[in-house]
Amino acid sequence: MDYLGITFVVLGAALAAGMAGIGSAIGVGIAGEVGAGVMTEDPGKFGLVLMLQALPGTQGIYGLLIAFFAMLKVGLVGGAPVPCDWVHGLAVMFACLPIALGGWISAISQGKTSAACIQMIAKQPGEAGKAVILPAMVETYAVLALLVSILLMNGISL
Amino acid sequence: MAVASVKKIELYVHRASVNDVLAVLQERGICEIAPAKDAEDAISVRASEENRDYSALQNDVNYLTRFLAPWYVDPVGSLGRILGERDDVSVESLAQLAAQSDIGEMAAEVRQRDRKLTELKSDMQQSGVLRQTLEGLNGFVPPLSIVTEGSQYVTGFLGTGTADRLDEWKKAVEAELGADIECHIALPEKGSQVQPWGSAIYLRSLEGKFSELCLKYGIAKIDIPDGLTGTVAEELEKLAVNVGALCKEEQNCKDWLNRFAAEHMDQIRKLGDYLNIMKERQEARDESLHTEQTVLLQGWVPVHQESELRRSLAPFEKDIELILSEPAAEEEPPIILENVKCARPFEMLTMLYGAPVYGSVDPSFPMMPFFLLFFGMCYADAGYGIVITAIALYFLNKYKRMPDNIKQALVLVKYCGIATIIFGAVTGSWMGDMIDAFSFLAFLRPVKDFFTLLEPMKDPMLLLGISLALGIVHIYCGIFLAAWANIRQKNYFAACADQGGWLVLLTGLLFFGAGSFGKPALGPVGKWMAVAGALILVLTQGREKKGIFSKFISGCLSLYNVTSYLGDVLSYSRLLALGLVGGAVAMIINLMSSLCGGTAYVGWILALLIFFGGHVFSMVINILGAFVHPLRLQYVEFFGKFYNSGGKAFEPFSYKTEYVNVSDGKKA
Repeated sequence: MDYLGITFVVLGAALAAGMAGIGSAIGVGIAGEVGAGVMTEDPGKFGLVLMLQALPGTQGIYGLLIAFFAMLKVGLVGGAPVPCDWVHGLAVMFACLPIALGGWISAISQGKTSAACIQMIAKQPGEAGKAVILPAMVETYAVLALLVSILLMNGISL
Repeated sequence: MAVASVKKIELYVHRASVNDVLAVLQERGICEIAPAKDAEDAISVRASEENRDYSALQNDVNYLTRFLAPWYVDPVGSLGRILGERDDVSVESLAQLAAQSDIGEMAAEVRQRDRKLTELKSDMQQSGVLRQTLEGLNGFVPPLSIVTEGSQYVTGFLGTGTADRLDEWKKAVEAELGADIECHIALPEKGSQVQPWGSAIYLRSLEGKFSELCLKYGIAKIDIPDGLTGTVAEELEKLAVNVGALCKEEQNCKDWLNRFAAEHMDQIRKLGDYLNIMKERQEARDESLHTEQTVLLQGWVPVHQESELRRSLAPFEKDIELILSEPAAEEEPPIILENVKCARPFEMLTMLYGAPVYGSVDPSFPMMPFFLLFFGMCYADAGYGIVITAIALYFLNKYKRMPDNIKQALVLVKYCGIATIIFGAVTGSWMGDMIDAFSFLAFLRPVKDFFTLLEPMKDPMLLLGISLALGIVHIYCGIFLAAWANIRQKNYFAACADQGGWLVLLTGLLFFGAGSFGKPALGPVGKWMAVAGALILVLTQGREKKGIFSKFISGCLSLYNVTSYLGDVLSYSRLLALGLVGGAVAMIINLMSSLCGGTAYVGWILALLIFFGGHVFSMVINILGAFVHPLRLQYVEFFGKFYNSGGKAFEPFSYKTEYVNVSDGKKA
């Protein structure tokens, strides 16, 4: 049963990076579509639009981060392999789930908010500051999910 | 740390000197001129011959700047211009320039070239289409005049259709019209892109019959323009010459535009700025109240500029009457924030949320330490801090004349950078774990360790505790500010009941909590404090309701807000999470870089690429979060406790220019 532990860890890492990445890709995509529409009218807004489009991209990075944590834990990247039984492997996998799920869904919502905010700055270029804050409100929950994943990961000792 | 007091201006000016007075006010740029509320009355008196129509001229200037932009190589560059690299000119010299130049004529000349370019473009397009048609007809030997003109008895036809149809058409035509027609079809090889075509030369008298056959077999006539009379080859040659001429003409046009832009762009931009100045002056005058002989200018001036205003209006003493008064309660004066120098960059963040209402608290100064600390905790890397501080310092030193708002933004970046360096050093993060990851940097370890006080990666719970504790301090600070605002407005009861009640309750709960975690002495104190606080709230929070019962219910319900305070405090855990993200991403980059470094021969190139590329990426991504999340903590958790936005920012009546700095006529 030596391999089962590491299999769970790999699955966890895959879920964290994969699902959060999917969410970010969808979110950034939604914001990008609207951004392109706004720029057909005013290409000068590229900088602002790009910033707003980038906001839902952080979940993917959070997922990647947790995936790396999981891999580091069992020595999949650099360092010597750490033995890991199935109980601990499963625990690591569950520790990956908060950011996998939270990152996935929140990135999509944040993408929609970003898209709406891009439309807002199309009409009110002076309100860029507020337009950046609204998507950040959504991101709060990705940050909390990330936090829980980090704390759980930190708590599991192999 | 306050909203500056302003005074209301009522300035009665004789019509004869209103323009001069406005010119002086605009030059000083110390007061705001507000359009009259019932300006409708003013309009009837407004029209006079001194009104130049600036809008038409502005349209021309806008057209010219926009159209000529692609033809103009700006010697300064847009970044430099934004950062204040502009020419210094005086209004007098601008006026002189305006008097000397004829914008209308310049615009007309450019428009002519603009039209010409469009025409040339469409001509070339047509030529292209014709060339394609002619190239397709390469095998048609007789001169095209047989098709376009014909002779007395004979005429020609060129048509196209599918290969099968053409074949059938040829057979039918030859069968019906026999020797009176000469038919030829050109069928390209299978798979070729060339269109098949057929030609016929026949007696004019057969026209009707021939057309019927064409219609029957679906052969469409190929349109050859009337002027073409030579053979296909000859016409193609002519066309090439023609296109050459068009190209040359286009090049001439472009050269002319390049020359014109190089010569006149500077002038046009200056004129644009001058027109903006004059237009604003005209609007300030026209939107004020008029009588036959006087104009009433209304507006606002900050109290500390009052004497300056009186001084600058002194020369007009005979023609004006200046009345300054305190703003009335129902009026909404514009907002100017006044802070000590170090807090000025934070005014920008306050204004981003929305200007405060007149007479309320300006949060810029109290926000400063928290924002810097939170930014430092989120960015959390001494290496990154050094980079952004260096960038800010570079721009601040290179461009000395940048506009104030950009300067303040850069100063803010500098402060944030310094905060990041401090916090990064305390947590031992220099480009992530660079010093530990690369063995050749081992000699720096003692230096790093000397500064390191805590290691978030190893002990996240400690930093989580610090984050939440900072959150509690931040929220208390917000409650104190709300109490202070109430005391300033002499709402002593509200300060004691609303903020006092919550302070007692929250402190009690904290003590109570501390009682369960190792400080048993505080437990009972906390319990009774919490009860007292809760009692105050239950008794006072329903005071605006009618009836004892609904007062009690609202009082009890207000206690429910304790969950929102809990949520607020937990929100500060993001400081830990974002700080860890920065450090961990940097760590991953260092790890990948050192793994690649092991590759034979090219390893060091890969390692360097990953190291620099990765860290630049990480800096850009993280700085966005490190800015947005601390800002959210200010806006939602902190401002939510006390801040009233809804004011209107002060907009001085001044020179608003895009391309030049207008300086005092005497100095220039």
